[in-house]
Amino acid sequence: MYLVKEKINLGEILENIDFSSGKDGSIIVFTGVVRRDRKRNGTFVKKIFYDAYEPMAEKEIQKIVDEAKRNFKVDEIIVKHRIGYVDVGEISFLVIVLSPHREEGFNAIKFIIDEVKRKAPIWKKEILSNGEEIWKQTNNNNNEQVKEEWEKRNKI
Amino acid sequence: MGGKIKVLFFGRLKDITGSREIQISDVEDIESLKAYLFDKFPKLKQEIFSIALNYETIYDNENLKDNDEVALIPPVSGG
Repeated sequence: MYLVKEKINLGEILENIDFSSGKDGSIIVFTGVVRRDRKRNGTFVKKIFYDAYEPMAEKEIQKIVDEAKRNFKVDEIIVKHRIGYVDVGEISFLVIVLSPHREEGFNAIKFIIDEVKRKAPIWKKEILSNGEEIWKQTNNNNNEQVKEEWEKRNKI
Repeated sequence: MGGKIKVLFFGRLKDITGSREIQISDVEDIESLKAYLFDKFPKLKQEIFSIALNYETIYDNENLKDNDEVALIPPVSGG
């Protein structure tokens, strides 16, 4: 399961990786952490609520992992994404890539992070210090580009 | 053709419809389902979303059958 409701324990995950084969010279870890972003009128982000279309998100992330394994020389890929409420400072998104050489690992991890953020049906809602709740519209700051991509899907 | 369809709403779309899931029956295809939803929830017309049928994004109109699951997917913001 790529989606998890409980806290992501990075130490435990790293401890459970078996390095003994000796074939992987590179382990790259990316963690996305909830930021205390400042908002209007002195308010700030207190936590994030992640909503997901769980069965589809699991399938989409699996496809991305499979594609990364086909396209890059990597041996193991770990992906975890929190759902539900995640406090500031907690890990919301984790990707670990084991590969013989670092270059392929860096390329693979960037591909996986970008694709999960672009494709997995997961949505974040920021919960502010004054109690206000705001759905984040998109990960892409270019609204026109997002609109175009989504409308292409939605010609029906 | 037709039958019972499960329709799911996510992210901000759930706030607009007031529910995460509705069941409807006797809609023939995605096009008529959209017409039904726009009639029931007029605010949906202003929203951008794609459509997933049984967990796969679809790009064309498709016929619906009993027990199909349709989801309205607004632009994603995970990570």
